[in-house]
Amino acid sequence: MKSARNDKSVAIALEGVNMSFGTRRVMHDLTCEFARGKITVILGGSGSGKSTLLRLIGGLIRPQSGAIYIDGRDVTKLAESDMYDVRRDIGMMFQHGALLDSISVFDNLAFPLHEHTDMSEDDIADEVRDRLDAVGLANAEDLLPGQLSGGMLKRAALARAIIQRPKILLCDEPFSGLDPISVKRIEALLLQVNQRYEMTTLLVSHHVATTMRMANHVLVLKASGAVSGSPEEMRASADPLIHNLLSDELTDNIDDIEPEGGAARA
Amino acid sequence: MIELIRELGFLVYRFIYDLGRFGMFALSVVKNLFVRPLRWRRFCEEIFKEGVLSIVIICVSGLAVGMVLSLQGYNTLIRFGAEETLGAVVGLSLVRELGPVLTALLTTGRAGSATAAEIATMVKDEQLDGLRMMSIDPMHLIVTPKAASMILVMPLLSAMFICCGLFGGWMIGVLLMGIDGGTYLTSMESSMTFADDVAGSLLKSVIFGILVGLISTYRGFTATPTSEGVSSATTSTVVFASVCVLISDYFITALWGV
Ligand SMILES: Nc1ncnc2c1ncn2[C@@H]1O[C@H](COP(=O)(O)OP(=O)(O)O)[C@@H](O)[C@H]1O
Ligand SMILES: [Mg+2]
Repeated sequence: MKSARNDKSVAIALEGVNMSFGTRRVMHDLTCEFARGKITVILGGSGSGKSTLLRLIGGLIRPQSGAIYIDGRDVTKLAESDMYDVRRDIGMMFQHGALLDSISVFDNLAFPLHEHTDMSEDDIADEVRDRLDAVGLANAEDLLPGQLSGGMLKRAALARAIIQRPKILLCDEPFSGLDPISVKRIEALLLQVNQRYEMTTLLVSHHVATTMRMANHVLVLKASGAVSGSPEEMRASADPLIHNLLSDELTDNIDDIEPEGGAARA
Repeated sequence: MIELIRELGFLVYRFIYDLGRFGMFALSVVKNLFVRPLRWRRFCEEIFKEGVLSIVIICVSGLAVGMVLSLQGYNTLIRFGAEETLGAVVGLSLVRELGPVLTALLTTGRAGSATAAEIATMVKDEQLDGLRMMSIDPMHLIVTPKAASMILVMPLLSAMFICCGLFGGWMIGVLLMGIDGGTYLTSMESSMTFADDVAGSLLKSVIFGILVGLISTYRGFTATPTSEGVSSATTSTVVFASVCVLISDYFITALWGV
């Protein structure tokens, strides 16, 4: 396991991570790794710590103990100001969008480019329109985030996450609340950016059928720790929890009853 | 009994913890004032939101306060036959006390609560985390311009409040009660010095601006990410900032004689 941090094929590695909120322990000695340039799907029941895992990798929260290596660098020890450098290479799509609600969708995407690059206005506009086209929001660029439906918000959030072509893409439930056409479109887009830019992609999703189709690796979070393997290994697993999670592969609609995901609005 | 001591100990601990955290927060705001790129545009936006949009309520309130002050002052002074000092009474109370304090209270209610609610909502919706993930420090982009603009806006609004109040007082005293306009203005002018009264008034409102700016942004920034967190950040901003303004007003007056 120690070698994981120097292994070039591993982009992110967690070692013995413990995370609790107050007295509530969410992660117990979690050790896992994520292959560079591959799509890893993270499965687990709700409340199993999937979002927490992504937030840990993004450095938004710090574990009580353990190490998180991103490109061989332990980010749990970094000062917040150094963390900002690491995050330049990470794009994160939040579960509920997290777009700035006072500026338009276009400005939301253009903002990081204004901040971190010296591209000209025209280049920025081209780049932004390219991403909006890719997620099918070409005609929504002037709307405020509050005027978007739940599904549109997700797509805008994804567009923002990949605007700077990060090396690592963290997606928290990218498919929940989306209509089937958008699901297909986002699936294709994620595959495309993963292949074209070799983005290491972490997907948290309940859309088991879609994600198992895309996955190179699967990580299942359980109370007793994480189990990882290829999609085939997971399908063959005898573990009842994994079996249960994957049994939804046929129905693929857990999220449609998610109360807050905007399914009703979309 | 043990329970009580434990409760008390916990409260003291919370208080000190909060105070320390607030101190760190304030330091960070000061530090971020000098971090490049300077956020001039955001600063101006905030001045508009906190200042320009408060002008109407400040002016109307100032006018009303000046008028009632003049009315009450006249009715009191006339008992002692001292109604020609009405200008001094109205002017001094407005400049030294009512202008800065009432402006701070009104601004807390109008702009302070809005600031806290806005930042708390951004916390709740993970907008600030979104910024962090884009390598943009929310302290620098969101919090510091809001806090800094409050410091500039407060003395300006206070000055407007005072001007409207003086005008209201003059209307009642001179136009309604028939005090000689010259007497009124002379008594006001001769009783007031710039170094003492006007500069002191300015000092007060700058300190209130710092307090309201920091408290409202702190409460918003440290809000729990729920709807309830947003509302409690807003409420506690109004309560806490108002109390701090009134208490610090006493100390400024006692220490500096303003
Ligand atoms: N900021 C927080 N404070 C307290 N508890 C939290 C916080 N964030 C997450 N949790 C708890 O951690 C557990 C995992 O949350 P999360 O990672 O969001 O689950 P999910 O796998 O559904 O995304 C949940 O039980 C949740 O209650
Ligand atoms: Mg989650």
